[in-house]
Amino acid sequence: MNTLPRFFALLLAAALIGPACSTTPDPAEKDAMERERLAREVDDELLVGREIASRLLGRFQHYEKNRAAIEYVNLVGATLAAQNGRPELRYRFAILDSDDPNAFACPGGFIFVTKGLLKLVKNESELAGVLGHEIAHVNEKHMYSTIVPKREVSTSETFVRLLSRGKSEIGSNLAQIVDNGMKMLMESGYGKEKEHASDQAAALYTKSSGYDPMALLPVLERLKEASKSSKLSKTHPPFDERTASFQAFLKENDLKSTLSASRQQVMEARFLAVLKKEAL
Amino acid sequence: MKPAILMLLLCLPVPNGVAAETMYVQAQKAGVLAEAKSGAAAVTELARGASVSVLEKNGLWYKVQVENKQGFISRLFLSPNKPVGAAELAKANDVSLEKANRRRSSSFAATASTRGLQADERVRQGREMYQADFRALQKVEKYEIPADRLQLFRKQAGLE
Repeated sequence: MNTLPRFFALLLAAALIGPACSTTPDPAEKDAMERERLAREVDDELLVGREIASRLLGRFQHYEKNRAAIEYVNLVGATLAAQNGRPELRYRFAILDSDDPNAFACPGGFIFVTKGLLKLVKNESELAGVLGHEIAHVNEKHMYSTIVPKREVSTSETFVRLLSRGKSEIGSNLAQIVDNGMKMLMESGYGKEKEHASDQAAALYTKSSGYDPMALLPVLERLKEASKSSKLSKTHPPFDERTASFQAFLKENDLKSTLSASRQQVMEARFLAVLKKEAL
Repeated sequence: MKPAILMLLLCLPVPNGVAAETMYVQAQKAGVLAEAKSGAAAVTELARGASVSVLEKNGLWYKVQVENKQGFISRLFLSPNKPVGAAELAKANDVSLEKANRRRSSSFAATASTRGLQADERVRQGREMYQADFRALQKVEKYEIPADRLQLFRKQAGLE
């Protein structure tokens, strides 16, 4: 090819490609695409979360006897979730009929506390600390990102998904994913780093909701004692280490209780009215 | 470099510098603090949906710029996604939660019985570790706290 025609060919290519590359999508169109992507991700997360939540309910049984206790757990949980939750999720809180003190989080916002845990906590802030810890597992996708690793989606896959109107990418892997999720909850746990990170998040969440950010500390100490006779130590890092890490975080961040006596009184009254040990 | 190639490069669009990452506040409200610690004084307070330019990321704390102010905010309260409520997300998309829920709801009876039975069988055969209880799950999903009840609960104890 001669130089001149080649020059004009390149110039034409630049004229055609340049504007196409520099075109930015309309902001409303971009938002709509982002929402569709988010909806698809949340849909997958809920699909997995529902399956795991249903198995936890099958394993421990749903506690339904004390309606006031169920409402109370939901009120404290919803208070935290309203301020700190992922806006795209609807968090659900329920009680499991087990005397072992424990709490669980499933992808998509399903959070469970056992009857034993409700007997272990001594005030509303402590319950908020536990629920905040579980909300952090959901928000940070501690389980979901482990059992459903994020993968690059090829152009052809995106096209196929668009044609199938966003059909789930979980597909035939669901049974295996759910088994792995249950193994995490019942056997292996999330691992030290994620537990420590959730403790730290619980302190920030409780503080931002108006609860005592230090309240999880005595719960961890009581759980340490309780773990000697329960399966809790199997799925959680050593409590001494966890307590020390949490104390250091509270100190680094100047986190202290700022609850006034009058607010403490209100919380104490409603806690005692609902969560009497003999009522559970 | 050949003049033709040079001309081509000159014609291509040039990015306007590297922009700082924009993130959005997910919490109902979040403080931008003077130091990277929770106990620090607030420089300003942001509401859900406010955007910040992230200048530095350091563990739990991000240094951000909001208008002409700089400060620190916990990454726990930020996301690259603009916050979208669950209901809005369902309404706005074809691939919606609402649609997915309808799909689940219509297949609920079949799921509860068929899958429940299959799960029972799988448990008996040692192929499934835990038996699912979809009916209990449906009760959990149906449970709702009225908004005014939650508002009163928060107000009574001065909670955010």
